[in-house]
Amino acid sequence: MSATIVELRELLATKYPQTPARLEAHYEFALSSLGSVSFPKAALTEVCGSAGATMLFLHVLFEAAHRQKFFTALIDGKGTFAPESFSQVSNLLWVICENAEQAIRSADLLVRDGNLSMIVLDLRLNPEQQLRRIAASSWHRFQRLLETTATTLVAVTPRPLVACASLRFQLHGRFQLSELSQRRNVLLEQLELAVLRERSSAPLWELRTA
Amino acid sequence: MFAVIYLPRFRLQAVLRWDEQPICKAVAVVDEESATGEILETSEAAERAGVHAGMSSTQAMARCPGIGLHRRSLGQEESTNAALIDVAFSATPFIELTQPGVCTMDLGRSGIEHDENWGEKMAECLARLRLQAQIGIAENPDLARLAAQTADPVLVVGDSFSFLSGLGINALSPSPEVAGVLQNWGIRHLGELTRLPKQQLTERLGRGAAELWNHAAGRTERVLKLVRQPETFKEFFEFEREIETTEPLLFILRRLLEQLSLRLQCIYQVAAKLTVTLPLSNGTNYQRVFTIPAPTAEVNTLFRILDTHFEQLQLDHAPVALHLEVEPAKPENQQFQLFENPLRDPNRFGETLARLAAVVGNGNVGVPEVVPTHRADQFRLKPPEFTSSSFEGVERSGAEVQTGIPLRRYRPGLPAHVQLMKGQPAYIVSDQPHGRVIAIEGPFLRSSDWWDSESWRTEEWDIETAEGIYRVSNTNGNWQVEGCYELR
Repeated sequence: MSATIVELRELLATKYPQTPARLEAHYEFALSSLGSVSFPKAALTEVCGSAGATMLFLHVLFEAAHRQKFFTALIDGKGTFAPESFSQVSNLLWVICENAEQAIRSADLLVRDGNLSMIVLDLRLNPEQQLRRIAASSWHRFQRLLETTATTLVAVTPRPLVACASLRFQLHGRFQLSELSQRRNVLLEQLELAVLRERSSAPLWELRTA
Repeated sequence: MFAVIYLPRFRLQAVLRWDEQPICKAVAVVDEESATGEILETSEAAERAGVHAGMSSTQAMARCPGIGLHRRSLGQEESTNAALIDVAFSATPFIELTQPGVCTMDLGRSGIEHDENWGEKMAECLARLRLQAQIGIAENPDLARLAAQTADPVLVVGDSFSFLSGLGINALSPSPEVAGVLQNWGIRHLGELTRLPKQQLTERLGRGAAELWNHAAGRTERVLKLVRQPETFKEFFEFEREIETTEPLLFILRRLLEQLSLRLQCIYQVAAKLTVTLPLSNGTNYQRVFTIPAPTAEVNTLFRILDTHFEQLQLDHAPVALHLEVEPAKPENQQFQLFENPLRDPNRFGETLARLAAVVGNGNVGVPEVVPTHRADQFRLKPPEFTSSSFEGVERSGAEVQTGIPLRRYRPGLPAHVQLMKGQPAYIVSDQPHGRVIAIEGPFLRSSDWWDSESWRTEEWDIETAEGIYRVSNTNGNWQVEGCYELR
């Protein structure tokens, strides 16, 4: 999509706020009460956190993507995604990988393709040994490739791993078994978000309070 | 008015269509079925060297040692005929395939201006399809055919009498007996033949002579046997010998695509589906169908889709031929809305999906669809379409998608030993959770298919240990860790 169209959309959204929600939806993600944080477009974002916290984050992300009508890819580094746990996945391309190496190669193909608005690379459950084998140059390559597209790459990792991430935030949440019967928006309230790194002059996807 | 497109030396053209070897060299088509390898058709150079149709291959090689002999290919003749028809259909729907390599078109009913320029454009179009054509335009089909046989490359017959007068008797291919008698009478040209009285000629030489006279006078009228426009477009190539690498296959595939693309463009259509069939040396076929996400006639786009697949293809037996079939569609005229987010390049996306499938394996890429069953972890992956209808699916609701943390599922589940206390898990030993169970929820009983021998029953527990929160299941005493909700 050319920059002119994006600018035109922004201009229209500003001038005509009463236009359908789809206009502004592109730039907003409602993530309960995590506070206000922004996603850099055409850049790499890293999300660190526990398995549960990151899954809640993905739940919000996929719901927002479906509501706002854009196509998303999930590169599942360990093949652990359970589609039955999500309400709507018809706009989600699921790539089931065996290991981190396959996941990185898949991400490379999708980033170069540039057709999808958002690509989620989930390496949260991949063994440390596999994560150590990912060359730093891969992340730099992604960063360079993303600059020429309108795609956002979100890497979900167990610990800070992506040196060149434009944004890195950590999700903290400690859940008990007894809390699993609560609704997800209640669980989201318990998440704490800490921005570890923010380095972007690029346009931002807003991730803000509903 | 009628026009005839005539492909001289049709069988030779069909065989040499994909060859770089020019037809001006001494070449011939051989009938492999005949015991002596009979020569069916020859190039002009071969004729000059004394090689004629009907000779045996050894005779031909004796007369012209450098002659190139090619076996006849019915498949390639069929594709050449199809290409001829496609070009004809670009001008009018009233087409007759008079014989292989000869196509008659009724121009009067389609209101086409039948001038020489039009004929030259048709000849150029056929030249792009690597076919050398002669085009004749005249007031009736038989006259147009005679004109085509003598055209260079286009001949419009205005005065049929003067045109026919100058033609030799052999142009009408009379029977040998009639030809012999006419020769003895000193009749060499059609003009001389028509000066003879028709009735007396018929009395002496029979009904065949009457037909010959009518042809010579340009007075034949007949109804065209119209052919229907093909629903698919096919090209065929037979390899001289079995091929062992993908390079020659891709080379020919691109050539065939170029030709099919031109044929599609002739009738203003695009490719919606490609079917590639490779007959293998063991007599079986390898077939693959490619659906084009955004139908197009652009060769590079179509070739990339095929190239991605064939680069990684490994076959147990070598291909001996190549069939390429295209299912056409009308080009889509779609204007996206300003606020719509379609795929920018669906064909490129399709190609990326093929590459992804090559990396992670077929069946590991797609849009997940949950199968409506009680059995755990039942889903199928659909090829993504990613149109605006992708957002119109029914939203799943219920406790599983609204409450708790989404499960991360281990595939396959991890085997575990679970120690029970009062019928509940108390201690677990497995690769991942290992230790005392702090809290439990469950059991959640699942069962189905009780009505047949495939019936199953399992109980699931959510357990919390010092390492995290997990789902474990017990099926007939076999415990396994299904997945985790949270890890610490």
